[in-house]
Amino acid sequence: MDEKKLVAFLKQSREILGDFFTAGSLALLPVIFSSLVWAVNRRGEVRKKILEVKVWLEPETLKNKPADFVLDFFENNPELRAAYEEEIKTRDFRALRPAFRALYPVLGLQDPFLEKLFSSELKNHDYRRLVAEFRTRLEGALLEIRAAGKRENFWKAVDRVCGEFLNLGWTLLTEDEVRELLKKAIEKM
Amino acid sequence: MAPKGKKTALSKGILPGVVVVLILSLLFSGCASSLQKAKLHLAGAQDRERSFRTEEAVALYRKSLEEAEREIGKRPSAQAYMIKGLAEVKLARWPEASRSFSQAAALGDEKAESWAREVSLLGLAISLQEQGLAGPALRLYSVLSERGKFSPVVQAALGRLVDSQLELLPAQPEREREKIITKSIGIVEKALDSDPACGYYHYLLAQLLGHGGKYRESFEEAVMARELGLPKLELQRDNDNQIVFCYRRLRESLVGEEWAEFSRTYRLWINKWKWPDEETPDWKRR
Repeated sequence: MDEKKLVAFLKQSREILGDFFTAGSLALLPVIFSSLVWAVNRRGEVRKKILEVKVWLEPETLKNKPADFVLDFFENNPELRAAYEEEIKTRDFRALRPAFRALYPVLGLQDPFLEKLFSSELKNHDYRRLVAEFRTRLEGALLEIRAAGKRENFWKAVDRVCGEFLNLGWTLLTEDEVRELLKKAIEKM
Repeated sequence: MAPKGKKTALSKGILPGVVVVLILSLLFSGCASSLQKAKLHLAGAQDRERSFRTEEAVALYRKSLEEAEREIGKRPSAQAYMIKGLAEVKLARWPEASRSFSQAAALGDEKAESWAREVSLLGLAISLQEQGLAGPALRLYSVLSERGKFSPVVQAALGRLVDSQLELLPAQPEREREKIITKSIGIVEKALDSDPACGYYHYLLAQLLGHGGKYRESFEEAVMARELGLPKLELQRDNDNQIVFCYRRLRESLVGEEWAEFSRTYRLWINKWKWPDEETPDWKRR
């Protein structure tokens, strides 16, 4: 599928799913983006993956990662290393740990929903803002999804969009390739 | 028309066979009871779980649950409640699973009673922990992980027990930390003795060994976890990150032949997994 067709498909998806959200919704584009990525990655799991985003953010094992692992995460990402230079130098885990809990699911585990929800911060490498707004923005987006999910046919509409996307042959690409193509196309919408 | 000399699918007798199977499966899907469908989906899910196709397994457990609920609506039976309970356990819906097993027990299934008890104890422990009563919750996790008979409950209890132990680490002095880690490693190793093919136990062990700074062993356990499969995508990704973390740590600490040997082993594994380089798992963007 060429880019024009993909943009047209995304516009159509935004119209279909947009009816379930209020104007200026935080959650609409992350829902579209993550649904399509999850659909390519694992069919039949889209609804569950969207609904469980909050649950899998904080398994205790992530909360309890050793200090060396946390430090390694910051030190081996050049942009994070620059953004948290002082904290890394002074081993300030009171600052690094809460930042890790927000940044690891986005950058370390690459959750597509969070990636889209914080796309502007990621684009601008504004990691401190991402950390500061993580909780409130995520809660807001999940509230919107819960409200949309209560409306008749929302999940059917999500499934339909995913089904149409898969019918266009996207399963031949890797998750990575799909993410990149979608990101470019969403910017052109 | 088929080329001369070449047998067509029809002449080989393949096509009629396919058609018969197709007709039979269509007939079956139309006529099969919800109980049969629930059983089929459950068996399919277990089959995929054994082949480490966990995402497909979860989707089938959900289908199995739907069919079992439909069957219970029409003809409640011990078998239908057992299937419902098993699917709910796999989907981590503990309170519902406990109720289903209790119903199955009431309708005469002997196994169901002890499963219901274990599942309900786990549910109780989780809710105690959520309400801030960590002590009693830990005791229950410990009992279930050591004496439980129902493996999904044992795994969940063990995971929570280890997490609770790790939570204590930051506030402890060095010697206490070591004791907690050693004790937790012992608990997981014991569980591995009885179920060595459980990828999740190897994942837990890799995490604990990482806490103890034993990066070579942690790497080996993480490799085992990856090879045996993990129940959730986020755990698989976290496990891959653990592998990369161990690689970086060992690169700093190993020298000479020891490093060369580890490096060779590492390359063999990442080639097998088709990672683009030593520090980039296949799913990660570069």
